[in-house]
Amino acid sequence: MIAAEDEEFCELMRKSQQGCEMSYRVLLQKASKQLEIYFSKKIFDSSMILDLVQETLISVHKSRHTFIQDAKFSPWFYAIAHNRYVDFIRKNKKLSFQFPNALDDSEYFSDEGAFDMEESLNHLSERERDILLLVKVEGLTIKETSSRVGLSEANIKVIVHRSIKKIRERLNGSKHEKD
Amino acid sequence: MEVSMRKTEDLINSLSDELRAVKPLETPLKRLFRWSLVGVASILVGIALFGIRENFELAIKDWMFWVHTFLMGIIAVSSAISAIIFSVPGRDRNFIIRWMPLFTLFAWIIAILSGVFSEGTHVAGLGFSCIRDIIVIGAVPGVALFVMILQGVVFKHLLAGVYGFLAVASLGALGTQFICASDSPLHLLVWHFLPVFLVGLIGAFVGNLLFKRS
Repeated sequence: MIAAEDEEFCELMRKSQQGCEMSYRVLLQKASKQLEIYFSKKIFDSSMILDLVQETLISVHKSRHTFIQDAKFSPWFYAIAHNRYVDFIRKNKKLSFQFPNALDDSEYFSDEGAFDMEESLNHLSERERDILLLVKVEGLTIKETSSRVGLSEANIKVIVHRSIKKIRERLNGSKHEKD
Repeated sequence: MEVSMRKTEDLINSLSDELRAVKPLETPLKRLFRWSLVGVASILVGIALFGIRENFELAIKDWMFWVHTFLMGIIAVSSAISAIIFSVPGRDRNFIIRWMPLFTLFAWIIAILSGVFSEGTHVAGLGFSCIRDIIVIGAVPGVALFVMILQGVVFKHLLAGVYGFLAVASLGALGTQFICASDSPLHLLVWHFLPVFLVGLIGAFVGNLLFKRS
């Protein structure tokens, strides 16, 4: 979410907190589109994506009082979306994930063209997994990720690099085992 | 897909229709300030109830008294702000927010243990009154803090529980510093630090029960 867009969401949310129905409707419509993009990078099944979008919209509705007016919208919004997603993963243990750009290597893909990333991601620490998903799935820049998680840009780069390396090593290991 | 899209539109319409104005949460710092006022008031009431320690004038000349007091104050404030911030989605990713209370708790045990190992004979004594003081001083700020946390939405319920309880217990221990006349490191370890630590652990279980995922 770029800065101007974030500011627009903030303004809509401020008005929504005051009870402006029109602003709220616009906010939810725009938010649902952002959520579709966010979840479609993580999950293949379109009906599951829409379920998650709807569940997240309900959470946003219930949590709207927790949006602090002088804060940015996207960390608040994506924290709720991420939480819904984590709940969803817990409920559905086996999920197919799209491959992050940096790992987009056909040799790791199964015949169906998809790879179950859950196991590989589970071997990363929570922080590594979150940062990798922010950079490679949500498509945030290093700078945006740095401000979102409160670490330096150099640190983010190192963590992303190490996480990709770990996944590669793991995938290579399992590939050799199969061979 | 078409049906689900329609359902999303329907959901947006129904959520918009039922929209009511809400009072946004105050910033965490404002809430921490209000909680601190309750905390200071509770300490003063505790001292008024149980009486100030008889060797107070002597104690304030000892720099270790101030080290312990300062560390307990920092644990209380950092734990409270962390617990409050955990009730605001998206604000809980800061490293300092997540781990500062544990670092300060660690600093406190180091300060106590350095006393245990450096000085001569130590007497832990009986300190049930210290536990009573910690509970009495922490009770009202505890309720206030948990009301504040419950006003928000907690995703990290275990940490929020640990830090909420840690804040309240360390505030109680801070007040007890001004009531309990013993500065023996062993006494501080057994009757001040351990109760605070155990209450923090209990907070992990209570947090799981209290702050269900929303």
